[in-house]
Amino acid sequence: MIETDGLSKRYGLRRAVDGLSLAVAPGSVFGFLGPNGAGKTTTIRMLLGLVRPSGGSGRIFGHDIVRERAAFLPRVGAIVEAPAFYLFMTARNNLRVLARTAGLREPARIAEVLALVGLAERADEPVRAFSLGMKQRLALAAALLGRPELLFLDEPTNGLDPAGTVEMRDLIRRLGAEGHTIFLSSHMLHEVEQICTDVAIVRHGRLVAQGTVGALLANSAALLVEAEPLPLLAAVAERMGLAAAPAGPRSMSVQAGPELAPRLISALVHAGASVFQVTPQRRTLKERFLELTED
Amino acid sequence: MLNLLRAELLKTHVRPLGWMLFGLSAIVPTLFMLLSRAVAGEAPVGPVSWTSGVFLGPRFIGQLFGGLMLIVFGAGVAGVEYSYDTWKNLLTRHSSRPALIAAKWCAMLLCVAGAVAALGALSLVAALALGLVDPGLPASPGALALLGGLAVQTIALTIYGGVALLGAVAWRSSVAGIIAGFVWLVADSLLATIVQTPAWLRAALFIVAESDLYRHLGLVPEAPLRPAAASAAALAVYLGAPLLAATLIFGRRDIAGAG
Repeated sequence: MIETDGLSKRYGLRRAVDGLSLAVAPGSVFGFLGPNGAGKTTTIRMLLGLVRPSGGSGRIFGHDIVRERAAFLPRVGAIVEAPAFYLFMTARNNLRVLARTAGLREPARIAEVLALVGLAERADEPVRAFSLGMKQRLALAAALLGRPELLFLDEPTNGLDPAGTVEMRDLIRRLGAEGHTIFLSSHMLHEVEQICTDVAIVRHGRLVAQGTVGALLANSAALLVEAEPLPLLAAVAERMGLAAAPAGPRSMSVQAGPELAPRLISALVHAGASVFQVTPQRRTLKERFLELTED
Repeated sequence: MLNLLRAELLKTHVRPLGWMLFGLSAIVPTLFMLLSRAVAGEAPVGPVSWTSGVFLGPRFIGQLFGGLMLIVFGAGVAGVEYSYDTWKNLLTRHSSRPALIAAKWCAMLLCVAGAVAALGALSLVAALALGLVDPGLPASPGALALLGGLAVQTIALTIYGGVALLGAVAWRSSVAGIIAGFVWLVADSLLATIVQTPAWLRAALFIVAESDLYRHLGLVPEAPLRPAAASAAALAVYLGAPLLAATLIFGRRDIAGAG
C-alpha cells in the first residue's frame, strides 16, 4: 500500500529524513512514531506531495508519490499536523470547499461525515468558534469525505480531552476494522499500542525499528531476576551473553525471553546464587520507544 | 477546473473582505465625485465619462483607488491559504498546482468583472438621478462604449490583482502581496508618467499605465491607436505574466506548513 525506498529530505545541511525505507501493508493500522523533530511530519508531507523529496522514492497504491499523485490522491484522506480551516466559514462550507476541490459530487456525504464525528448540530457555525478538539474532529470529517482507502492521521488526538481521545481512538479502531489502512503518527504511545497492528520508529530522520507491535515488544522481553549476590547474577548473565541492568536493591533486569528462564535459574543455582524470584517482564511500547530513541 | 473555480467562488462569496472592498469601491468614489462637484462646481469627467462607471471616474479614483482595492483583493485570494495554512488541505485533494493557481486567478477575474459591472450600473443610476437635477452633466456614453469601458476596467484591475496574487505566492503572505502590488503600482505609475519609453519597451518591462490600456482598446479618441497585434500582445503579457510566474513559483515550492 505504501512503500518508500531511501526516502530523504534535506533542508540545507540538515537531514530531516534520511534514507527512510518503509512498508505499510494494506488493511494495517500503522503507527509511525518518533520524538519531536524526528521527521514524521516531513515524511507524511513527502508522501502526500506537499514537500518534494531530496532523494529516494515512494509509492502509494503502486503509484509514484511525485509523478503520479493524481492516481492515488482520490483514494487517500489526510490530517496533516494541526487542523487548518477557513475560520470565517462554517464547518459545512469548509467541507464544501474541500469536496469541490476534490471533485466530489456527493453533497449528502458532507452531512454524513459531520454526523460521524459528532458535529452535525454545529455544522453551520463558523469554525472560528470551534475549540481545538472540535477542529480536530472536523479535520477527521474532512479526511473521510472522499471515502478513502488510506488515511494519514498526523497527531489526531492533539488538543482532545480524555473523553475525546477515547472517542477518537474508538473511531480509528473502527475505521481500521472496516478495512481502511491507517498511517497514524502519534505521541500517545499507549493509544498506539492499543490501536496499531504495526509500528515504525524513527529517530533523527532514520528508521530504527519496524514490525508488528507484538514482534517489536517480544524482542524487548526481559526477566526481572531477584537473586543474591548481585555481582554473581551479573557475571552469570554475562557468561550467557545476556545484557543485565540493576532494577532494584537485590534484582536485575536481564534481557531474555521467558524461554530462557529455566536455563538462567539453573546456571545461577549452579554458581551458588540464591534465587528468590524470576518474573517475565513485557515492556510497554513506551519503554521500548524510549529505549530506541534516547540518546 | 470548474469545481476548483466553484470552490474559490464560494470562499470569496463568504469572506467578508471582498464585500468590504466592494462597499468601499462603491462609497468612496461616489463621495469623492459628489464632494468635488460641490467644491469645484463641476462634474469630474474621466477618459470616457464618469457616468459609465465609478471606476471610470477621475484618474485618482479610477486608477489609484481601484488599483489599491484590487491589490488587497488579489493578495487575499492567494494569501488566505497561507494565513490559515490551508494549502495542505487543497494540495492533498487536487494534484495540479497550476490548476489551483489558475482557479484563483479566474475567480478573481470573475469577481472583478461582477464588481465592475455592478458599480457601473450603480453609477449609471446615480448619473441618471443627477442628470435630472443638473442637465449640464456630460452625456452618458453609448452602450458599446460603456461595455468597452467596463471591460477595460476589468482588465486593468485584474492586472493589479494578478500582481498582488503573485506577490502573495512568492512571499507566502497576504501582506507581502499587498506590498508587492503597491510597489508595482507606484513604480508603474511613475515610470508611465515620467519615463517616456516606447510602448514595446514598456510592455517588455511589464509596465502598464491605464491610459495605455485605453489606447490599446481604442477608447481614447485623441490618442493614436496602436496596432491591434501589439496591443493584444501587450495585454497578454500584462495579464499572463503574473499568472505564469505565480504558477512556476508555486509549482516548485515545498508546503512546509506553519510549524
